[in-house]
Amino acid sequence: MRAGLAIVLLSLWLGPAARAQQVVDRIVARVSDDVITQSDLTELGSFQKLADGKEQPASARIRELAEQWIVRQEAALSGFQPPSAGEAQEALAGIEKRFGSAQAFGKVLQEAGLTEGEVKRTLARQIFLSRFLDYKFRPEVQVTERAIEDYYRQTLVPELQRERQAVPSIENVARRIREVLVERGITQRAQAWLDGMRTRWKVQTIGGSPSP
Amino acid sequence: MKAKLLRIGLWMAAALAVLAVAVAAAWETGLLERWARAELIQQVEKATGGRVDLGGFHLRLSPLAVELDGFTLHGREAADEPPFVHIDKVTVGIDARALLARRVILGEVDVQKPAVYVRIDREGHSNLPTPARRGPSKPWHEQLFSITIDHLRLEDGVLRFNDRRIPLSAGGGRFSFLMDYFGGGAGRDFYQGQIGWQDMEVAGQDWLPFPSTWSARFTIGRRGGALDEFQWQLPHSSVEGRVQWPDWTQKSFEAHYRARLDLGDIRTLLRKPHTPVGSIESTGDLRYAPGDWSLKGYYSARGIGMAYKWFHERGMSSRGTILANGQEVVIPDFEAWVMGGEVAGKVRMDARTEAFTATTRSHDVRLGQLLAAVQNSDFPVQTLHWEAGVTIDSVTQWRADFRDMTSRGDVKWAPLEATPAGKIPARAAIQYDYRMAGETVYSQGTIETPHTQVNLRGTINDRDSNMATDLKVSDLRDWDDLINVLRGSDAPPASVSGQAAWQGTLTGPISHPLFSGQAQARDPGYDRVHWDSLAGGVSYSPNGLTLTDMKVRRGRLDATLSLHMDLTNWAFLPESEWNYRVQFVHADSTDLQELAGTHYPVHAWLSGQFQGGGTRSHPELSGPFQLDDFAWKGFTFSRISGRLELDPSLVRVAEVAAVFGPGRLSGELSYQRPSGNVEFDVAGRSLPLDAIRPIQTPALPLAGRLDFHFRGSGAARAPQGQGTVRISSLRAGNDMIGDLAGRVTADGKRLDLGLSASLVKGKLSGALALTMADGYPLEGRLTAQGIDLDPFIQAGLHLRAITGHSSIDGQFQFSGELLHPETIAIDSNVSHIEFAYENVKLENVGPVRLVYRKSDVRVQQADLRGADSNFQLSGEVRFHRDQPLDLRVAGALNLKLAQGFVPGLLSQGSAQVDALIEGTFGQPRISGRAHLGNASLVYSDLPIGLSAVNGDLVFSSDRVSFANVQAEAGGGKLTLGGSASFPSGLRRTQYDISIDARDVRVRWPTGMSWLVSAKARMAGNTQAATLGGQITLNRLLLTNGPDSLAVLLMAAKQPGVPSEGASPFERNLQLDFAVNSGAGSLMEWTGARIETDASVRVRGTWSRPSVLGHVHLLSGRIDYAGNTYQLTRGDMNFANPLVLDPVMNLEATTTIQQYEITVDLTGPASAPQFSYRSDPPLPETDVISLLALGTTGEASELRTTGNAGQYGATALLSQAVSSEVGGRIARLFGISRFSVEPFATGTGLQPNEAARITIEQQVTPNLSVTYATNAASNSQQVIQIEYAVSRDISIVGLRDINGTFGLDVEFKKHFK
Repeated sequence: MRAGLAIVLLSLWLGPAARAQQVVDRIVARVSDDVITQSDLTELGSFQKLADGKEQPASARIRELAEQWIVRQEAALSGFQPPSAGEAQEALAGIEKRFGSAQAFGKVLQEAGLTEGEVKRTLARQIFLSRFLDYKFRPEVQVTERAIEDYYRQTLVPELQRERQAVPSIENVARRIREVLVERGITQRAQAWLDGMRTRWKVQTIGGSPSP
Repeated sequence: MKAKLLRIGLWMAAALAVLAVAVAAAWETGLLERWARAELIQQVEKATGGRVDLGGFHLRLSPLAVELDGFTLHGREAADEPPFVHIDKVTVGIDARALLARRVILGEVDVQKPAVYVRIDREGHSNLPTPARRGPSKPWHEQLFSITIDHLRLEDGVLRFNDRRIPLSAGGGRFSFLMDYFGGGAGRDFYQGQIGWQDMEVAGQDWLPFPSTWSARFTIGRRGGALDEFQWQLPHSSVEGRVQWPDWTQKSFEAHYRARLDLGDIRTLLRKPHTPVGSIESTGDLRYAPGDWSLKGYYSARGIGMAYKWFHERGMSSRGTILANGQEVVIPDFEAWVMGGEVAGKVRMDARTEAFTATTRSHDVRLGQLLAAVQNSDFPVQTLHWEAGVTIDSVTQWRADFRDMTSRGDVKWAPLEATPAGKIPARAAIQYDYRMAGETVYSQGTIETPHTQVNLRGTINDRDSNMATDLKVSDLRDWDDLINVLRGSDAPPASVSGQAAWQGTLTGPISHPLFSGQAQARDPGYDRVHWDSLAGGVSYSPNGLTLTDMKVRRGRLDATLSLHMDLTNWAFLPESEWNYRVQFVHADSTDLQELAGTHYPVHAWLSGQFQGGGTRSHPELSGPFQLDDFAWKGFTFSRISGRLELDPSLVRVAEVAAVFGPGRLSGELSYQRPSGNVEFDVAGRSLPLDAIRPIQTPALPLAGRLDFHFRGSGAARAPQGQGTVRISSLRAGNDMIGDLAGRVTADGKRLDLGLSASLVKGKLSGALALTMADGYPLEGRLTAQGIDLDPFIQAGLHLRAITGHSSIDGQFQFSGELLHPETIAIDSNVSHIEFAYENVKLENVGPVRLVYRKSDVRVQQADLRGADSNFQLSGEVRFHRDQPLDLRVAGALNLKLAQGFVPGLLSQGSAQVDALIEGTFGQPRISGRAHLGNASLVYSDLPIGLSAVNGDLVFSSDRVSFANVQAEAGGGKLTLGGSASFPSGLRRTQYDISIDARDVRVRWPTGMSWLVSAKARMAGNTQAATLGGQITLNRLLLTNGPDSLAVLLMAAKQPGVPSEGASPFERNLQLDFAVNSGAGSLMEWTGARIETDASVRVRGTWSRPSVLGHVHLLSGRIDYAGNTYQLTRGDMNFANPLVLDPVMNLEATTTIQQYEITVDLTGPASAPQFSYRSDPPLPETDVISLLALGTTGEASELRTTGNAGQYGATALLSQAVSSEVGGRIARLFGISRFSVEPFATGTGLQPNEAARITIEQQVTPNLSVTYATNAASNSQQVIQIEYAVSRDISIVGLRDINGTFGLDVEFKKHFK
């Protein structure tokens, strides 16, 4: 509250000068000794618009960016290598191809308020963070034969029967079921780890509610 | 007379003098000696009939003795034969008694090198001298001599009997030898003698000189002789016998003996200490003739005991008959009783070859006794506790004194009928073949117990055994005692458990065997240490134990161990050397701790390679380590790495690098034993305070960065050193405090911390001194000026509803013991304080004095003033439940302040209060009064709030009464009466409140609004209450249409299960209302207006009501999915009190295109049945299509299209994988339908699969398009178009990856 008041007073004091200047960016949150800027927030929102057709509230995006920062920090501590520029470019090209033409894709990007570089950067972050979570937690996940059998009987077979699909033998799908369970284990551990890390890192929103 | 006597005396004296002179003359002239010599020779020759040669003869006077040199007595030997007797020298002490008796009595006789030669040939001719005959026909008897020697000593003598030489070296006490000669004609003369020697000591070459007494009577005739009686008494043994030689010419004799031999005499006298103990008695008769002899006897052995290392047993006995002749010696009925069993058989010896053969059968021998008999320090087999009855069929052969022994046989063990307690029944079948030549035993067989099976095949000997061994043990506890003994007597007992298998060989000498092979164990346990499995190479001998590449597994712990231990006779002694190498990769510390038997509150993943050695008493360990995700008492390190060095005198952790959140720790630490001194140099950089859990409390979370550097040395509890500490950007709660810096110095007795601060607001300074003694007493002082202490107020005063920043000026003094935080006290003297509680800003008037100690706050003085508030506090508040309160509140209070004390209460307005709060914090007693004026109160658990509340609350101890309290609620009027009491504390408040309401709107549950009038009463407590009365229902508004009813019905579908999210109060609030509709009662929602007539009884609970009765839907209109339906009839009957599931019977009609469609809904609301009909008639699917799409054209498509959304199992599983990956992306990026799988380029499960890209586009609120494709292929595209007809009905069109098109109509049910 007092910080907000201070900003208002500062704005009044600097009002005449501010009108002559252009605000390039501003800090919307602090995570430890790092910052999240309005442009980060806007870029993520635009990407969410591109992906889901709508963007999350600003507070949710700040939380998501903060969690990205936490994972990124941990990855950096471990010396985990980011994906190459080629991989991100490849992913971007794959998306662009689905829109039929570069013009069509460019139009979609324009409507979402994004550039190709921003999309590519976000895709690279997706690959990097997702790979790191996989790298960090995959060794901990142990899948037993019993778990595979349970998944087969309790999940896959009923689903296939409901879909009126042929039911393969468990031997033919055991490898894929194991991967499903491994991924599920990674997700659970990653969620729990992120929840725990969230309590250790202070995220401070600055300047009241950020711009949408 | 006297003269005569005198003369006689003189004459006698003269005669004696003359005699003396004569004797002296004879002595001096040698006349006497020559006379004596001649007399001796004459007498000996006369007595023996032999001829005497005498070299020297010396007569000594004092003591009276005779010395003979070169005494020879010739018998009838040939000229070339040695003489009958020859003595180099004889010294004879003559007893004076011999002068008075006819017998020869000698005192001391010393005979040197006597040589006696006796020869008797087949014809009976001998070299014995024969006394001269007195007459040819007249028998006569003459005592040849009778010698008694008080002490006789024979030195270096020899007795030759024919060709046999018998040493004569003895000495002893009384020796007597009497020889008579009985003369007679025609060769009937004979000698008869008696000889005896008492306490004779015979010294053999290896014998111990021992006293014995023997005597013999004998007769020697010309034709034959007899040893009429012979007795020999040893210390504990004796031999008696007699022998008869009837005819010297036949050389035959008969003998009878009786002997009792104490084996202890052999052990003592013959210097054979290993001779068994016990006694043997034997009697028998021997008949001997040249070329033919026989013996028949009997023996009995008792109390036989052996004390050999490899066989020690007592109490054995045996007996049997001895039959012997020139060809063999046989014991045909050999019997022995050993170790609880019996041995029977036959023993035979070939007399010519001295070859023995024993064919025996042992039965009922107790295995336990047998193992005890062979048990020794190298073979502690008795600790196996095996027991059985042993049967051995064996044939044993040997030569002479057990040379070339062989033994072959079958051994069988059979369990006893009743195995003694503590014993393990055993069964075995073993064939063995023992050969003394090489001391080799060849065995094969099997030993079985309930938990052990041993298969043996091979040879055992004392040089190069080679025994293949296959051992399986299903319960190692049976081997506990054996293993403990093998570990050595100085090792504390430990228990073993689990299952084990060993396959290998026993090689080398049996006294120092080497076991080598492969060992496996499942669930093995050793003392408190347990593993899941062990497997690897093992080599075990008295000299060492070697484990090679031993895989050790426990839980998630997987380690490889190589170990060598030097052993000394199986024992790992304190000075024994050892070395090992062990490697861990990401091992769970939980498993390691369980392995080590520790329970430290720490967890980490350990990787490292340790190696060590030294000796048992001085073990050493060193190696690099890394701990990932190290967690200890709230401290969590991502990684700790370093190098550990450990020996009995030093623990050193060096090169430490730890990652603590964004911070780093580094340094090294050493601890010396036994001095207890430490040396350290540690530094921390950018350590996040919020990650240090021990300093965090929910009420006062701290954040900031900690930097420090300490170095020092000395006693661990009181080191000397110095350092700096700095806390940057300190935050308490949401408030930034600033930076703190301190400098620490310690001199071993006292630690001083000087504190300086650079704060965002205010000033802070102080100092702290810590005494390094028991409890670590501390004292310090802080001076604050303009400090923002919101978080400390919240944490210290338990005022959690602080809503604004505070400012405090004051001084704080600390005292107490660091190790006992409960003793730490803070005395506060606050000159100025201001804070906002529940947005009511308060500040002090005059100084505020507080004393804080743990949970107690003593308010010595506090006068606070703020908006609508001006009150005084005084007294003591203790937050422990059983500590008394004494707090007085007087003045005007803003009712918002009450929100901080009553969770869920929203209050506004003001109250004039004058109350004294006593009792305890958990159970207060309040006396006084509060007047409410235009207040508003809303309680979160209740669906309505009160406004414009006026009246008095009267407090009386544990009760508050409503006096003239009136309020407005939901647009209507309320009158409250009754009271609330809290005899058991505020959390157990009881109330009895009457409510009179008129035209009150109640919004409950979500989506429903009721306009009612009621007379109700609510009675109960905060956990359970009853709300009942009469309700008149005027109107029901459903904001979400029928969905609101559906939600209510579905929430109550399952009886007895409370709704999720309901508070305990809601779950336990019992309802008892009679509800009737008022005139013109309506049920409305957007697009619908239905006139109703209801009469129901509402019971159950607030969260799960139970309704009985009916609701008639009289008439109405409903707009739905673009169609307008006319309600032609409708009934809802609530018949099931357990489930809120009314039975529906509704009918509605609508007109679309040219069709008039009637929809009937019947059955329970939980499973309604719809029926459709039209006029003109259409198939039902076309009717549905018509209702949903307004056209029947799609109906055929709906029928013919299969379920197009099928990808098969592979597609489903791939989708599941993508879903999981996408879920992680969704959390980080907030998107649900647009992701690139992380391993699209080939490192994941599907290396050749490209990324799947899914895009969902919400075109309109009702229409969405989903596009999913494989990034590497144009053909694998999925396009889904979903149109939401209503909230419950959707139409989904899909083009799948195979290019197949499909259309689904989805009906949705919503659950809460």
